[in-house]
Order: sequence, then C-alpha cells, then structure tokens
Amino acid sequence: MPKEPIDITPADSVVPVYLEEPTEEELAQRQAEHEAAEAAKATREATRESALAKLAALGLTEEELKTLAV
Amino acid sequence: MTRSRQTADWGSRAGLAKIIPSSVAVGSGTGSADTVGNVTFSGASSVSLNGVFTSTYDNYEIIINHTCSANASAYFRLRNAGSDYTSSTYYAGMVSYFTDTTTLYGETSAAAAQAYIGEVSDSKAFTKFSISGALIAERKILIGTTYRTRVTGPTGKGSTFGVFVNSTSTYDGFTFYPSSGTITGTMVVYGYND
Repeated sequence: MPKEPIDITPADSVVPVYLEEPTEEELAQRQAEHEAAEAAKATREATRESALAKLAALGLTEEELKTLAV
Repeated sequence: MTRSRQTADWGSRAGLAKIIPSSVAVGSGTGSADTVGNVTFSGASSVSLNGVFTSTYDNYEIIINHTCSANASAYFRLRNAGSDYTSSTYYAGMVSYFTDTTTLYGETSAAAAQAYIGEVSDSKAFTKFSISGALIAERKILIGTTYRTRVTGPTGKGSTFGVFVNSTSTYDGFTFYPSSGTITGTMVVYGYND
C-alpha cells in the first residue's frame, strides 16, 4: 500500500513538492536490482580478466587483439 | 558568388522551451522548482516530476546533474497522475566505455519494471536523454547518454543508451532514481518546438 504523500514544499519552490516514501516492497525490489546489477558487473569483470589471462598465455596483448579485430 | 541562406522565422517557437513541472516528488530529502523550471533535489532516494509532458510538445529533452551517496545503477520510470508505471515493459540497451580500458561493454535489460540508464556515483555525473511520444498512444522511446566520474577506479564511465517502453498509454511525468543511496543535484526538462 503506497504511503500518503506529505507536502514538504519549501519557501523557494514555485510548485508543490511532496515526500513520497517508497514502500517496503519497492525498497526490497531496488535492493534486489542493485544486487543483481553488481553481480552482473562482477561476472563481466571476471570474464574479462579470464579472457586477458588466456590472451597472455598465447602471447597476445589486449591491444594486439584489438588490432586483429579491426 | 554569394549563396543566400534561407531561414524560417520561428520567432518564440524556435528551439527548446523549458518546462516547469506541475509538482515534484522526492522519496526522501528535499526538492524545489524555481520560476524557470530548474529543479533541485538533495538526499533524494527518487525524484519525480509531474505534469512535464503535455500536448504542447511531442518530444522532450531531460538533463540531470547528479551525485549519489553510493555507487549504483540509475533507473528511469514513466509516470502518470502521480504514480510510477511499473509494469515489466521497459527494454534497455547500452554501450559503455571506461577511462581505464579501451574495452567496450554492452549491457541490456529486458522486460523490466524500470529502464536501466547508466550509473550514479559518489562524484559528479551527468545524464541527458530525449523522449518521444510520452503523451501519444504509441510506444515510448528514449535515446540518451550519461557519464559518471567516481572517486576511486574505474574513475570514468560513459554510456550511450536506448530504451523503449512497450506501452501505448500516456504519461505526464517520470521518475529518476538510484538502485541504492540518495542523490543530490539538478534536473531540467525542455520541450522541442516543432
């Protein structure tokens, strides 16, 4: 159930300003999104590190690989 | 030879017109809008602008300068009559580049309840995007770019993104929020004169 907005309009605002606190459900969803995004970033970075290690084992650098890819 | 230059006399309808929202909502902290449409916010877990998309314009430009209390993802949602549109019909794609590597990253987000539009961070960040068709009964499309700096590495990340919202309903506003932490900054909306 969304919480009722609270009028917090400051003196310098020409339009109404409301405080709309997120629900517990919304906060939980954001936390889940945040954790999923951070996990995806970590996976991408690990994959990149692994690929670079394989390149190094072949004697290639990242820059040399890009030259080949162009 | 002198080439004559033809220009249309658009008068006051030329270029971009700044829009004052009908109201502002923050999830926490404070917010304010001045007489020329500059919206400022501080310590906000979300910032929503209501009444910015009207029948006057078809296309809009949104500019946000922000700093966050955390390093996190940045999200966008459409909004109507004071409520966010949270159905899982946001589809986002992004190409990102970093200051510490020449590797490009591709990122996607499909059938989500919000559009992923880059990152917020503990140092200055800048987000700019255009939206088409917010108040027209057709799919909504965003195209934009964002750049965030960070206190510790990777210190810079830039992204170019595209989003479509598979909804033909109409929306008069939007919400910008971080997945974690609170944001402080400024926001402004312009309408494109036809």
